[in-house]
Amino acid sequence: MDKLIDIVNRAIEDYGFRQIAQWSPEDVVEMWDLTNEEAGVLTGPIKMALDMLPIPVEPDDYISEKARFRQIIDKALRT
Amino acid sequence: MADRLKNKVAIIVGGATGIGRATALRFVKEGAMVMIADRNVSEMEKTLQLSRQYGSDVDQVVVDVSKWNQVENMVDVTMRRYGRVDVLVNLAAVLMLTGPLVEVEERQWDMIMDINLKGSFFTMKATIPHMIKTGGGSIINVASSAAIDAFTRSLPYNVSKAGLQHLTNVAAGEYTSQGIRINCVIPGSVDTPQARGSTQSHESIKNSMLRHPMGRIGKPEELANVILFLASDEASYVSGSTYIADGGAQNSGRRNY
Amino acid sequence: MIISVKKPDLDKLLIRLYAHNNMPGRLNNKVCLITGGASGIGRAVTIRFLEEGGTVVVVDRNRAAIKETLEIARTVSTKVESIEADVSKLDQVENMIRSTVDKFGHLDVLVNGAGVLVLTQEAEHVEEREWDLIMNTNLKGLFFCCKYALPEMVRSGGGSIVNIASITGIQGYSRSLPYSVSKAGVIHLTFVLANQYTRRGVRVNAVAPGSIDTHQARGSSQSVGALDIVAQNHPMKRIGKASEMAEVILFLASEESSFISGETILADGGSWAGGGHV
Repeated sequence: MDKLIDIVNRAIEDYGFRQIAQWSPEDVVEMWDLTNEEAGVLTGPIKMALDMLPIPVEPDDYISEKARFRQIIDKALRT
Repeated sequence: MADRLKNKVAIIVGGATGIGRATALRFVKEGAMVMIADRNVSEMEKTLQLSRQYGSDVDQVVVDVSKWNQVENMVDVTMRRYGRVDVLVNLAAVLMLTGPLVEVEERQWDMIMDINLKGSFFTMKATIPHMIKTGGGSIINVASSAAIDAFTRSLPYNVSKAGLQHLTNVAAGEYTSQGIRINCVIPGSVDTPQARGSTQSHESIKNSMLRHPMGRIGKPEELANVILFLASDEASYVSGSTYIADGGAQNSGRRNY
Repeated sequence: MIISVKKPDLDKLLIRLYAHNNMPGRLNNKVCLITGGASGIGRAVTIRFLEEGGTVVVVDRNRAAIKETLEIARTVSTKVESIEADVSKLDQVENMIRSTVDKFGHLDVLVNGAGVLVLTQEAEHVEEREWDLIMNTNLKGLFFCCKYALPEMVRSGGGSIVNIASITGIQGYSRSLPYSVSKAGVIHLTFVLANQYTRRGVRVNAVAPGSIDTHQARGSSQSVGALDIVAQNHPMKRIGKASEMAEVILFLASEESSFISGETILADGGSWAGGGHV
């Protein structure tokens, strides 16, 4: 959970990291030592949400975007 | 092809021989209006005749670039003939061999500096105001690998070429914002009358070919290609750069951008 | 028979016919592999190379960008293929070179455009995984693309490698130390590879772009307004276009730069000469 939040926070603030999370998720899974369940959330709902983010996310929107992604993670891990 | 310099007016200083001649021919083939400027009247006439096989908008003017009034005249003649200047290529240079520093005579120093460094400063000084008026242009200064390698047979030549490279950088810093791109080309060994004359033997040319990574020295036409690229709009985001064209010789591993 | 064609379409068609009939393409008969070829500078290179008659293999890990790039590219030429690969994975690199050579018989031009920019804090806070993510793609991946391409180029009589470095590899970039170090590494790698392979017919050069208008640059500026400030302070009052970098890369890939090897060509619109900063 905390790891996924760390990952999405980075991806929101940094477009370069976002692309790695979108297109080389296996690197992120390994380097953040994610569980299978977390990896599924990364490549599933998180990837879908990252694909829709603007380039870049404006600093004023960081808080709201981070909160929105947190909900996505919460929801995915609960189901 | 043949239109990469369409409607552009170019002055090629030192355009009579070697890289200058190859550049004049290439520019005319690419649709430019070309003013060949040189002090070597007989070779310039030959280059003019060769160029006219490819286009009629090519002319010549005699100039000694170390004389300000002659440089002014060169630009005036070009403005009267074509009405604008878009490209200036500075190729006029002399290479005189000298002894080591203590033995360098003042007149050797002056002759080399006046043509290689002051001459290019003069041609830029005379041309830039016209370029600014018409919205910009491209200047290509042709230095030499002697600008960065310590070629030991002519200290003034080395220093003049290093100066020309830095002149390029400073002038680019001053004029890029006014639409003038200014870049430097550093040729390595190229097969020109100047190179053949200065090495003083066929043997030494053969040796330098054997040592060269490409097993040969460069052709003037290959340098003309580099100059063409920088002159054309293809290089629209290139200014203050140095293009080293030495076939990978990289004599001393120096860095230049 | 009269065929009705809309005027803009007709113009495009005529331009293309002109290009094909009258301009000997500067990359005719050349097989060109472009890593990172689906977006930014890489995509511009893909389009430009196709216009010049090259056969292009686009390599990227971004599937969506590949699809989009191929759609655009196929309006220019049909001589374009794609391979989905991540250059930091050596087996994928080996595969992409082998399948290209198997299919086309030779490889003439390699443009190494795949790169990642992850922003980092000051050195003491740089994490190992940030370092690895950047280095594995930008330097190790690029090296292995060269490693597998070079013998193929030597075998078929020569070739040209163009590495996309960055001005940050020359003047440094404090918003990502690993990135600027990786790009300095690319510049030096270019130099050493040229020392080794120019004599075997392969020219190896790099281009060092300044600020260029790409998704990557816009994304890493972290705010749309940030790049406008860079543009205002630039000598040309603008940042560069990806298509302008494609011209420099075309020059280095083509025979026009036949006497250039081992060089890093700065293409920053005069910003470095003007005392500007990244």
